[in-house]
Amino acid sequence: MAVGQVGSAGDSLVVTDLSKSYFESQSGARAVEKVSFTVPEGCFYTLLGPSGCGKTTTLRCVAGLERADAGTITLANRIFSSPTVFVPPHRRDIGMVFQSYAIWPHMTVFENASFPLRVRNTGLTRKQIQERVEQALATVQLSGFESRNATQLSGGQQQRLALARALVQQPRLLLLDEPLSNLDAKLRERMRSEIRDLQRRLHITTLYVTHDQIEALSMSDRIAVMSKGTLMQESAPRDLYQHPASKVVAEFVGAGNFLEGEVTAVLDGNERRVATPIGDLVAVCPPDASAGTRLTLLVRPEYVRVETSRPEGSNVFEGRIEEIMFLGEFVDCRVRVRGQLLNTRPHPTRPLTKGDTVWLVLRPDLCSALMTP
Amino acid sequence: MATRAEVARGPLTIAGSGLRVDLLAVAAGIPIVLILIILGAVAKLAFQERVFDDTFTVDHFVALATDPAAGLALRNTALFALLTTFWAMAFGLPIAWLVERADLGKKAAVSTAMSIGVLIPGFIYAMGWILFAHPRSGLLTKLFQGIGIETPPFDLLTIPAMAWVDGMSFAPIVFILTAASLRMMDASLEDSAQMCGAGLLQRLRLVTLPLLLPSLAGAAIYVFTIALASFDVPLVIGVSNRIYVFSTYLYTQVQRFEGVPAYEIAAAFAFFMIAFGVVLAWVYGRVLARSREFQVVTGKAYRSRLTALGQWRPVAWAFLGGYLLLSIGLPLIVLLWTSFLPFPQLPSVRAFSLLTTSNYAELNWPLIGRAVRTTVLLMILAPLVALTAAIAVSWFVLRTRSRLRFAFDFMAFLPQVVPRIVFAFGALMLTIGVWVRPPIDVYGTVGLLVVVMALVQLPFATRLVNASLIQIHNELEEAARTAGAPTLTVLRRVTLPLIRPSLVYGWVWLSLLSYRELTIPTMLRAGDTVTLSAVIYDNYLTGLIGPLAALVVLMLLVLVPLIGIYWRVGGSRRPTV
Repeated sequence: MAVGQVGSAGDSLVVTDLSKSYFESQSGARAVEKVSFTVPEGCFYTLLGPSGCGKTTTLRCVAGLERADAGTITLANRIFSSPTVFVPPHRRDIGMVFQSYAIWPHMTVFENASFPLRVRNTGLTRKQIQERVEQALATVQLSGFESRNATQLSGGQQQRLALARALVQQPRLLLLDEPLSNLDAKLRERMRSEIRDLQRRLHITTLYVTHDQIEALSMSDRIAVMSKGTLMQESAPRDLYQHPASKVVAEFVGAGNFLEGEVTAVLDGNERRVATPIGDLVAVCPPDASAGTRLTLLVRPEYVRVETSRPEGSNVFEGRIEEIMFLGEFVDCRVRVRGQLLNTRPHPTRPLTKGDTVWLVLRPDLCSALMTP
Repeated sequence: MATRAEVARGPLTIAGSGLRVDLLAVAAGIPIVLILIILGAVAKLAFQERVFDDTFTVDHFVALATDPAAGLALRNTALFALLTTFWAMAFGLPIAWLVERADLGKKAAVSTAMSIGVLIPGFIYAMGWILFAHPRSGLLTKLFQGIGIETPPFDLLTIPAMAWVDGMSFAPIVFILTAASLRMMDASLEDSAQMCGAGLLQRLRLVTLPLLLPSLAGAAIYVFTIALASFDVPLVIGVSNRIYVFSTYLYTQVQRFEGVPAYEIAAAFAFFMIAFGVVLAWVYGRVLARSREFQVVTGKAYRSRLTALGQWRPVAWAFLGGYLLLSIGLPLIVLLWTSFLPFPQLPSVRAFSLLTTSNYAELNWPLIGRAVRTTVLLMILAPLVALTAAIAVSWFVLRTRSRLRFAFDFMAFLPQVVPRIVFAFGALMLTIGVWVRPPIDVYGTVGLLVVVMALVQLPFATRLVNASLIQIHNELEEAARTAGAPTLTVLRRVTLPLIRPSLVYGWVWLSLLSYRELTIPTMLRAGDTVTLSAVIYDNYLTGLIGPLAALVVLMLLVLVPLIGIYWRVGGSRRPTV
């Protein structure tokens, strides 16, 4: 490990009732409306949402680049922003990576990376600064590039340099604003695991903003989904995918089939019999769902088993393949069951063709119930 | 042997030679060759004994180096250009910053006022200042004398004072040049410095200024080239007091009121300026390349936050208002006032009782009528020729792989860095047959005026067309080509319609600049080809101040509807220079 653990106990970020609106916005709608969340110390926390959902505004309020209209922001119990207090960004001790990397083209790699140490009264000697910068550059595998001109770096290298610059001051909080969106697909995949590993090694509290669900699911400890300025749901990645709290979240994260239904019988444990357009099926539902409760069932395409002969057991539905498309990793297969079209993803080696009759098997615990709003 | 079908389809083939001649390349070559011939004529004259005696000699350069008058003109030129650049930057840059990066407000109004500043002819600024601050007859002098001070503390008839007047008239150009780079600077570069812990002053010193430095240097060099060529202010203020800079020195050598025109020494001086211009063009290119390097890829562009002026707001408005009053307001008010008086005097009860319109009635209207005709012809034709040439040159530079394209690009920029009076001088030398006797007598024709004006406007026109051609994706043209259109059809049916807004805008802007032009019309004037600007200068020489002021006021009044047209055509476009 090069930089050493920078996070320390208690470096948790607490955002309470954050609101922000822009005067320029014509609708007068709030960019961020009463958003609250806590990023525990050492946690990789992601704000996920479509563009315009308020995630970047939230991040910029945490950074201090925007001033919140209401709410408080504290880091390690120190108030950064409240109705009475505003700490300017350069006194917040935060490292930030910008979407455009914001590498200064008139400086060398070393000058860029050492900037945070040079402009602060760190009390470090020249030699100590040199050591710290070398360490930081080594952490992001840019050793030996010190005297290179910043304009001579590739996109991926600029990205690493931005990361080194954000980490060199050993900040208590790391902010990342869509850092991978300007990279090509292959590099993005690699940087995903690199940033993730680095964060784990340094154990630094991190707030990450992205619109890419794969980035969010693969890197985060916790994900908060935002939409139209509000926070919709906060969960661990697996929970978010398997048990989204609402249709909005379910639609934004992954693909899904939605079946409107009504509980007809309460079975063992949390299992309920639900009447849906494709017929009665058994699904695991929230404990308070009783007979007559209306709800929406989410069935992820890859969780549907596709059989070419009728299998034994319950939750089996007969249908006809209406459309089939080979996509390499899987087959996108659309099956018509009693008028409703269901997306499934059978294994690409399966000999399925359009017009085949198939039987779909849905596992009760993989049909998640969304309470109808 | 090319068949007719082949000829119709593509590049012409000269029979049997195997040489392919592209029509567009030829069209692009014409202005470039003209530039080279004109500058070549000056160079040839600089190294030969006399105009019609081409024995090689370097005597004129020796004369130039030893002649005290020429040496003084050279020093004056350097001092004048440096000080003018300084004043233009000192006014233009802070105003650009206030408009683009501070919460000054009234952005559109200030930008409008500044671009109008570019269009007011330089000689009108100069005449306004002469009437206002001439050490013997100026209103300011009379004001000082009225309170018992015989010599005012400010002498207009000096190089620094002329530079002050000209610098203020060039400040709008600096404004236009720097506003763009201030506006486009990626805000995250400053934001990230703040996240690293840098305070406001550290950010300005370590990030903002170094990042802007190349484009500021570019603006300074650009204005410096204009100041080197400046003619109006040195002519109006300097010549009557025998203070010469390069352009007025050249002018007085050619348009001698007594003695024989000293064409050869003028040519030697001009040759020196050409060489210096080439160096300037090279430096300018380097600086621009550096500033382009700084334009890093940006993701989503955040609107840069505006600096809150707070208690400094009144100071900012005072600075801006003071500038507008001194540069545009004062000369115009003085001219308007003088135009209604039988002789210049300070406002008083008696002065108000003397107000008259006789100055307007006494104007030589037939002459003005002819001047208007020439001016209108020049305003329509010069931009047309310049833009046509620019389309050919830009196409050649951007759309072909020819090895000549860099040379063409550089050559088309030469009229920017070589003082325009050199082109007028070179053209004059060509018409009197310094190279070969011209087959037709073009001296004193509107055609000559149009061609030289168009060449001088070529750098602006090519940069405008370049900028819009770069925006048009190659594939739009390639699609037309694969659809079966030959080059000229692609140009006519796809490219030109796409860049038409730019072309119309360029035409109107260049037309306005033709209206205010004095250098080339006075150098190439003869007989009937006199423009409004030249008529005004003639009136100035006669010393009849009243009619002069009246004529200037009329010329400015005509400018108002013209600027209206420009605004309609330009829309939200910002002026370029």
